[in-house]
Amino acid sequence: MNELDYEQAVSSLYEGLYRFAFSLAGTADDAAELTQETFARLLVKGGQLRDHSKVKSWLFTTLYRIYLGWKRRETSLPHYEIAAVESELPPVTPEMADKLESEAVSESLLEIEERYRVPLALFYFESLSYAEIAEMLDIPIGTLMSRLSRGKELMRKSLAAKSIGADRKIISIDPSRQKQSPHHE
Amino acid sequence: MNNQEAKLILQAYRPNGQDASDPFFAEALEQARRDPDLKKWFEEETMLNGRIQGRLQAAVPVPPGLKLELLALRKTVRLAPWWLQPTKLAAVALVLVSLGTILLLMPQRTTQLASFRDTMARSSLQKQGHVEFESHDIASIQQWLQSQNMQTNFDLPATLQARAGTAQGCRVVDWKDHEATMICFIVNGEHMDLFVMDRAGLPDFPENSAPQFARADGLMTAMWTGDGKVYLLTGQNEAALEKIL
Repeated sequence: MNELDYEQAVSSLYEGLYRFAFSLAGTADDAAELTQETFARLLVKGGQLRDHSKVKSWLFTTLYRIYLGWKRRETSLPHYEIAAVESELPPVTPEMADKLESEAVSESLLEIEERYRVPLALFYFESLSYAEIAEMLDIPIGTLMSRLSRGKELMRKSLAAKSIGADRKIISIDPSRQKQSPHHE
Repeated sequence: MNNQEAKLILQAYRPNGQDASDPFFAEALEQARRDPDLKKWFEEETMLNGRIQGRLQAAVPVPPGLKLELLALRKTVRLAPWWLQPTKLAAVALVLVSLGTILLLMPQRTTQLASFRDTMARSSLQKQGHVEFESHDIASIQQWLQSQNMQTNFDLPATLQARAGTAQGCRVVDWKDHEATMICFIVNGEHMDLFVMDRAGLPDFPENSAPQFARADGLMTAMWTGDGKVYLLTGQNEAALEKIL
């Protein structure tokens, strides 16, 4: 891979890769490290990529595999279901609600079990074809569709849970609810 | 296809329209065009997906300096060593087999290599005047070497390049009618000297060869070639050298 190809790959793909990495790792630092590691591998192994049209799916697959490698090395990953920690959540203040507005959606995504979260993140963040996503996850397209559907369902439940409460700001993502709610401009 | 099946497919239809030409969605899209209920559901679903997508993208801002860091990787990440590249490895294996045959027939060449190796190992062990120019700055070392009419257009092994600050200095070592550059490093407490000589001095040593380890004067040496240069690295043992290579 020459300098120009690398620069083009970075320019056109790094944002999507970073967001996908964030959806996997859940922190900005880890997401940046995953993205860097992925592009470092492109520099080292990019010469073996004969079909440059596959750079995108190669990068996403590589990032996902690096992440899986990290997971294997970790003894445990903290993972909490919403229900398990709901009783521990502090009351939502207006300041927190403002923050919730901007972060609730990504939080909801991160709360979802990984096998549903990965297809969902790829659905929202990147434009890989479903054939490419299925190949990357090594699952049939039918399974991918089912996981995507389940992931969306879980995410919407999580978002709904976040918007419950009289003093909590409703997340205006549902157009029909947006019209009815006096909380929204 | 009933509406339930169509919904399972259409829920995967992305709001930016990129799936419009994907045949996977064609039948379900057609059904949504014909069925008003399905059409309404699909429009709401697409709108909701678009809003969530917008929120997600806004909620996960990409660090502003990340792109520059990724572009800068080109300067810090070295290409895969040729000996990890299968095609080149195969070519080198062929060369090595040929070389082995030649060496069997021409022991004189082995002597040349051994002579070079021994001379460099002795230079590495030399305590008095070990380096002629002392500096931790690789740029200053290069400048000094250039002032001695020595070439500096060679590649340091990646690990040494990454730890260029561990350089201690350099000097020029004579071997037969040739001159070799020696750069001294102390990496993690290990003393190592890297010698670089134009391959013209050892024309029989194959081009782009893998590191060959051999003991000389009590030191372990690794010797390889690349880009018209012969490289020889000295250290206490093979493990220490492998960390660098």
